Amino acid sequence: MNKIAFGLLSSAAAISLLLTGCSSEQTGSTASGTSSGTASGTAAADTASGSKAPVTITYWSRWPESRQAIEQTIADFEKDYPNIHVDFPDIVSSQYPAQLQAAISSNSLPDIFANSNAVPIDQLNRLGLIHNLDDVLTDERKQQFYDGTWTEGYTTLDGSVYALPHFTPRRYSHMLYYNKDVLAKAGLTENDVPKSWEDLEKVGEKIRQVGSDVYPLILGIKTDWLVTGYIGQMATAIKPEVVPNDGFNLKTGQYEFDSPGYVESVEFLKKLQDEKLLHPNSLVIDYREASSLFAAGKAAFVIDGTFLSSELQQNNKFNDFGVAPLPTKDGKPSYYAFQGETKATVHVSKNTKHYEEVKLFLNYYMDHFYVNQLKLGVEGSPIVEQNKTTQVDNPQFLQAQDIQDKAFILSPHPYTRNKAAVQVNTELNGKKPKENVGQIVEGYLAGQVTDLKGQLAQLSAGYNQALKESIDKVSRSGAKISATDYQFPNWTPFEPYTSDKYAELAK
Amino acid sequence: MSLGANEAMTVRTDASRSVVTLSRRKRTRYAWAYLFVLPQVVFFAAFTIYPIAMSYVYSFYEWSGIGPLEDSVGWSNFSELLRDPAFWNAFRNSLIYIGATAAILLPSSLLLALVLNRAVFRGKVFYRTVYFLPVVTAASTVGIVMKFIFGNENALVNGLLLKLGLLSEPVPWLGQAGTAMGVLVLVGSWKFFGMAMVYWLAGLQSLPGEAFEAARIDGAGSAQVLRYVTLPLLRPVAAVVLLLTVVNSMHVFDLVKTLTGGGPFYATETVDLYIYNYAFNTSGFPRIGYASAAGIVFGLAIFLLTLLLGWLVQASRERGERPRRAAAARGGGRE
Repeated sequence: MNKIAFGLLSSAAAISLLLTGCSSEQTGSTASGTSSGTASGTAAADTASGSKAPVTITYWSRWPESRQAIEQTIADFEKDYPNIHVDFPDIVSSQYPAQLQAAISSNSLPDIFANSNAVPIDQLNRLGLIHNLDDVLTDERKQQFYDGTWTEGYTTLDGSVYALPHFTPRRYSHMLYYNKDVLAKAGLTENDVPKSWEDLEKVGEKIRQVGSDVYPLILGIKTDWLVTGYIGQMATAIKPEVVPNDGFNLKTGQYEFDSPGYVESVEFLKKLQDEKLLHPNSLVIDYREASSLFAAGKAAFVIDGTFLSSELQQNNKFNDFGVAPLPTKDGKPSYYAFQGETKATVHVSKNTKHYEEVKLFLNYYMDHFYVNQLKLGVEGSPIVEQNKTTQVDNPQFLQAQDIQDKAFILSPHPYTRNKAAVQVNTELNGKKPKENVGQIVEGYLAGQVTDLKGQLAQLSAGYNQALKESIDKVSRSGAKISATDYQFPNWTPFEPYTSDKYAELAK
Repeated sequence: MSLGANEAMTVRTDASRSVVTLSRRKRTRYAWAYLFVLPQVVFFAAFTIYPIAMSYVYSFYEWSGIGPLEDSVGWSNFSELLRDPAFWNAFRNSLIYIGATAAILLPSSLLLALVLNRAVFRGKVFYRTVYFLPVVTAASTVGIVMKFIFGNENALVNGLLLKLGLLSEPVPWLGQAGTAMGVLVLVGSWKFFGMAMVYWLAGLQSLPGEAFEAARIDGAGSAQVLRYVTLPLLRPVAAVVLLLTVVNSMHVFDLVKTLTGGGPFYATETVDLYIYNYAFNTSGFPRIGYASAAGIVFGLAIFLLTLLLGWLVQASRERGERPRRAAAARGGGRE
């Protein structure tokens, strides 16, 4: 027995050393990234223009598509300011909320960090964790951004700025990417790219002739937030009163995931699956696995966000693709609600010891990072002028930006109508049901959900119950808010909802 | 001859001195022992006792893990949890996983241990190491690799089965509730197989040789030796292997997270993953209070299950002693 145990343990130890060798190195790197935010540097009181003592500031991001543009910006910034080092650790975006949560709990937030749904700006401010950025975003600076960028509850609180936009606020919408090579093999051209579901089925049958392992459409169903998004957007072509952003009917002030739009859109995916027009791997892969198979010629189409074009070009080194609007039931247009919100922002820790250096970096960020990101074909700039003047030689990106700009339509938002809705959102966040539409789609395609409408109705009921409880709670705390603040009877979908409409409601 | 009073006093004083000296020595030894144990106690208190105690506290609050504990909600996290079908689904999945892995592992690892225990078998050490390899491989690595092996179209398993003509079209192994759980159980069993085999081997090598010798002298064949000697003697070992297999399966997390992600549609979500999803929810506010309540309920269930298995181990030990004693008595009689 002793011999066996010794032999096994020695082999096990050797193998485990081999297997864990790489990971310990990575852990070390992450740890250094987390700690430097508050502990590194010795020039706490130095201003950037004064002493040249070395300073390290830390930046946590959660957007993998921006990585290259951020690294490029940091490299340029460090050349211009050699005494400032920007630590930019690699963080897996799916783990970002947990990492942020841990940093908040241990009071070790980095100097600059990406926002997260898990901790809304309102809560970060109430906990005294984020820095006021009014001196970075002066009135003159703010005017350079798109109208609606400085919205209460997203970038500002009580009129003061607490968040700097990372992308254009008009992002992201969903679109159809097509592989030109696969289309050519099927004897199809870009004119055959489907506009409606019926077109997709017709074209799909021809594509199936290309080869047994080539499918018309591939989706990464495991990425539930993306599925929730494009199902919601396709649904607007059927029932436009329900905004795709969160399945909320802005006319009635109720969540309505069981609207005909959602139900029919999910049923269409099931139909594609049954007809073997949807790649069978779709059910078990995430969106990046799907786009890789698309780039490898295993599917003619993939539905994704605007950010896929840079992913295909940079990571898959694939450029033989085009972008088209999302196909809808009857080929009618779909939309995404632009509600003045900026969902991707960065905050500055209130405890930063290097605010002057952080300010320098943020100004550099606005002047260079947005442009770098544009040039790399990742995403549009939140600064209007940069989008007009920056030369971008990337047809697919421009195509995607054009589709995205057209998809976003200014729509009503309860925050604009009543600021207390920001508090309701914070309350609501923890009470929402655990499921989402994307997971129900997975269940329906896997055959576990048989009553699709019933399941979606249950989800809507859970959301509506949570909204009611949250409104009641905020109302009891003294704020004046009610369910009617969530109803916009004077809104016409597909028509911009302007400030005079809010004024009309207030009468 | 009796001792005088003075002599008696001297002896008593010497004795009491030696008692004092001994107790001092003993105290010093105790002090050193406690000193050596102290770091472990401190770590145990800080990283095991404190978190457990605090999870009981958190379970009575609606708390996101950020900011002060303000919103006391009494027992509502527990009542919500017990009414949540998703929790019971996760609980059921955990039990299925535990039961299925035990059912697969116990007989299969015993069978291989019996083969590898045979003196005539060549390359024993090599095979023992090979079977032990998955045990030391990170579960997350296993999950990711197996995901590619069992993935749908063009994946290794489907490709092989299609070529062998055992399938007419690819099976979405991880895309269907039943097959996804099946794959999870198989992979989980494969991962722990080497460890269970080592336990069996240790048990097999501790069996008294006299019993086998006696059985052979009585004319018993290999099958009879296995049926009437080896298996009854192994009963206490079986109970221990069962206990360890169950305990290992109770906290399956990394494998589920990387292999199936709990899907499709919660079909393979275990309680550990359920707790994680609430504590570190990526799509909304985390609910540490609720997740703590789930941890406590599951912890209590595990405690009961472990008690039951502990009793089983004890009972089988007592039973196992009887054939051992009988075998020893028979062996002794022949001598």
